[in-house]
Amino acid sequence: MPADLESTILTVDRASVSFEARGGRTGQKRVLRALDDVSLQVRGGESLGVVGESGCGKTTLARAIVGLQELSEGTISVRGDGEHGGRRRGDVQMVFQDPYSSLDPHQRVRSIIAESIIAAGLVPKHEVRERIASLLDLVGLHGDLSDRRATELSGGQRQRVGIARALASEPRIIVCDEPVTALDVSIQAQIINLLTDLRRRLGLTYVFIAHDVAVVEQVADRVMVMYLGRVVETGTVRSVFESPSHPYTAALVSAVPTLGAEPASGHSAIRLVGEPPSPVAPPSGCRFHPRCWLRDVLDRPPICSEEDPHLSGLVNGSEQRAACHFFSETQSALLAGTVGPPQAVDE
Amino acid sequence: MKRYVVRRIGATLIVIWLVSVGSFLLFRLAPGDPARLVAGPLASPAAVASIRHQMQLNESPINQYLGYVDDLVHGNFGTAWHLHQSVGSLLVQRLPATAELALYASILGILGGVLIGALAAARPGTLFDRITGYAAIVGLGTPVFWLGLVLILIFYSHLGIAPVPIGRLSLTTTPPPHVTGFLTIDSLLAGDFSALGDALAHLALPVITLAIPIAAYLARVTRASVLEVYDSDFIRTARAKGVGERRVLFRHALRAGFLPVMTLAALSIGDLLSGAVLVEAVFNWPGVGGLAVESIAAHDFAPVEAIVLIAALTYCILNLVTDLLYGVVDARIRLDGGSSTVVRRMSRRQFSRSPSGTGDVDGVVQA
Amino acid sequence: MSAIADTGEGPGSARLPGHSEDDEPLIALNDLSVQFQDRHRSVTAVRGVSIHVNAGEVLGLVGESGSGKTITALSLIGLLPPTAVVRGGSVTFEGIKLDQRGLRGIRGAKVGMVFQNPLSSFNPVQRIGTQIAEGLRLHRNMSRSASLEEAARLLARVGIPEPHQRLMSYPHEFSGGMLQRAMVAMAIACQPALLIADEPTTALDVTVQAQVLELFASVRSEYGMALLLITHNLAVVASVADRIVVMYAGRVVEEGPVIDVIQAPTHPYTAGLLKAVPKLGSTDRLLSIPGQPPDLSKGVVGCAYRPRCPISGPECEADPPLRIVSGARCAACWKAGSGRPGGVLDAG
Repeated sequence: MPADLESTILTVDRASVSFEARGGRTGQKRVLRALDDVSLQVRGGESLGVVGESGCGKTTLARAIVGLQELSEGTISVRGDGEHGGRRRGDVQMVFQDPYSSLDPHQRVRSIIAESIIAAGLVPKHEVRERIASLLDLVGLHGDLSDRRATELSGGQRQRVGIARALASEPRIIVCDEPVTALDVSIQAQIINLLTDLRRRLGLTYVFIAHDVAVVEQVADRVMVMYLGRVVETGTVRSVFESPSHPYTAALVSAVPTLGAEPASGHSAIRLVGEPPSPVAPPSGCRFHPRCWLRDVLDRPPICSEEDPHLSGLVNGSEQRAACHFFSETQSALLAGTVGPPQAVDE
Repeated sequence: MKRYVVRRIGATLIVIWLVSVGSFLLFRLAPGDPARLVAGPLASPAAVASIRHQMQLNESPINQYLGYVDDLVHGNFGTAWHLHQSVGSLLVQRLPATAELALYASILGILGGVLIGALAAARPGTLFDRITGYAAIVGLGTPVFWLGLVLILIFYSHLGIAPVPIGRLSLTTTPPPHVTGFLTIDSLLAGDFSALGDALAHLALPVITLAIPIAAYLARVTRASVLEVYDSDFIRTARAKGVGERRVLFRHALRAGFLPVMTLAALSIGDLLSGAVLVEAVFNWPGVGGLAVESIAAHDFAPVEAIVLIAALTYCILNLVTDLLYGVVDARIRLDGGSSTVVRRMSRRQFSRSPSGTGDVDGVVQA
Repeated sequence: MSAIADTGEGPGSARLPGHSEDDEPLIALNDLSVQFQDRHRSVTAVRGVSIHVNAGEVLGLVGESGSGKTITALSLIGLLPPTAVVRGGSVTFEGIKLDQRGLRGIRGAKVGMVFQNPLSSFNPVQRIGTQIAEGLRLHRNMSRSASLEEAARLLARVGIPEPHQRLMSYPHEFSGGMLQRAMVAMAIACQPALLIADEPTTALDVTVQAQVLELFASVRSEYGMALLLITHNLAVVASVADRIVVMYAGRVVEEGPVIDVIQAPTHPYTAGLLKAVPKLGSTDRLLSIPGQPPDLSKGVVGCAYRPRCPISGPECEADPPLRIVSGARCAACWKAGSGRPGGVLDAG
């Protein structure tokens, strides 16, 4: 894969999305930072996974990349065939999470796909039918399904239609927002395989968003871990999941139940206390510090609550970066087995 | 919360003012010469002119209106010319009769309607449900005065159970001393149980007549609302806890689906006033509805204006009380805009000027 | 979760002391069949299903959508929706056969239930404290104040901070994970012998899921409760359950101790599922099961899995019954026991 990679085609530079929340008992205005100073780069042909839990901002990021969400700060640029070498219309497409609500239930399949083809304007009218057929074939659906309405299709079939629709404009980048979360296990595997195959065949670039770490490992080359609107770790999928440098990533990976073989992280479970705080009131300093097990192991160094760590430089020479003041201690703390029962969350 | 109440009271005052202007104009613009009507067809032009002067009809409309408002503020509702009585004293006489009727009709209609509707929702498709469904349609579609006449026919003429429909008390009963004007309450206070019995007997038919359309309407609304809630997950949870069906229906389903029922119940109380007009005519009830009808026929607008204002005020108060109760019935509703409402995305300009966000928060918003 | 110890039992879920293998099952469902009827068609959701849960054990009931697992679980306590028609089957609790009234009697008192979506499973207009206390007042005849006090204790037990304040809160004021804990508190209030959890962690983040599963384990060991865990997540079952029952198209297709079934599945559907689950630490291409589950509104002829099965043969035109394969293991497959159903599954 690295041999085929082109240079960067998607750049997100210090993107922030903030919402103003008014009201509440005091009527004050509060700022909700859904995305805070997020930067990333994706090379052509690469698949970047984005993982995180509710409230981490991954969906906001997805929508911003596709253009459904405007930024409050920062820029997102696509290097493509559009004006000034920027994005062409339809260059970046999205596959949505819920196949049951992202398709108009009473529209016929061929009309759903035709809409996207026509909107992209790449194909002359008389060739639209042919194009529909080839798209359906590409996603593994029989041609005679094109007459059916969306309500008559199963979840897996609908998701395939959603993928066909995304492909209609010949995009270079596809943002997948939890595309398999709502599907059954056996169908999930089909769609994952389909997405992987399509990437190879069509040279697509993916930004793949999921909360299921194992699925991301399957689909992505590199991964970005988000927490409360910030990026806390990036790197190749293997290095981040096998030897996480950020304590949150370590906790996330250790929480994933396995089928009985040795857990991938090779150590006992880390239990986080409580839940992520509200994005309206992030903790001071490092956002993760109130729940951080590494901080406890290191006897609560003051810097954690005072200073917000930036993504550190290279770790292990593998392009892995973590936003933690003590990222180099994470692995050793894990292996030393010094992770005890979780302390109480302090305010 | 207080800000909300103050705002609503202010809005109510504006509404009342607009209503007063509206009704004022309406009567001034209606055809016919009020002074002539009051004076009678045989009066001399001079007499008519003097009455016209008394009624201030020679002033400009604005002055007339200002004079009217001035009077109102001082508690003077004007004079009912065709009865030669002040409107104020008329209202004091007649309002309690209508109010008493409305009170009992509301209670009966609301309780009856909600109960039947809830029970029907608990047994959809059964005989009970279908019968009450048809009955509700009939109850809604039947003109109230016809209903009243039919009830009189059945219970008075044929069965002889009901007393003569000529008002609030039999001719032979002495009214109890006036405290509230509500005969039932006054007789209870005076310990006069025979008067109480008589008052209730006379109230029975008109109250039932007025209550039936309300009950029918609320039965339909309650049934629909409870049915919708019945499929909810939390009803299943309640059953999973071992809660019996009756409790599931009343403590869980009805309680959760109560909001639309409450809203419409409040509105139907307001509607009672219009129903009361016809019912009072049928039962010879000495209430405000009858007064309004008479006054309109006699082109005597002062009492009608006063009644219109009272009706508007009643609606406004009912609405306000209902809205205030929303937050009590359903805790998810916060009248001041809510603490978990995200208003809008910040523009780049705003973002660059904003402080870094800290501060405590009430609700959680999912990004 | 930590590695599984080599005792042949799941971690933290070993059969609790005091219960032997020969005891009567705590609760058993015998030969259940359920249909859903509406004007146009009838769907056979469950056909001839029998499952049982032994006292103190964790049974994992696994299946995908349409497998009938939720209907099966609801039938155990007689909570089927009104459109469901039971065409056969009975429930036995502690050896006694129960009718509808009897089933109502065990709900809440002997069997507690936790549902998938906590926000919609609570009454939105009632305070949490009242809802938790309701069961206590109903089954243990507690006074209002005593039941609220106990509710606060339960909230603390499940790890919710400031329990006394939280009693007065409404469901929408809680986050997802906390609300799920509150639901657990509500379900265990009367110390039932069995807790049924229907996809309790599916809607939750993975770190919160881990917390909730841990909560189950600690509550179980304190009360000696059995747990019937319904889920489509095989990994969760693997790390928590003692025994596993796999359902497909309304039938039980495999049953047995969880380690054995996962390491050596006998039914091709189980094998297919195991190969289709993405595993952390491995990026091998997933082997998916081709096709889709059958449409249950049309009658199923023969083995329901046949259209998707890589090892089907002519005998599969007849519906295979659930038969004992070895020891405590059963499978509904003609080929079971005659070699592993490995082979090459269609890749993609």
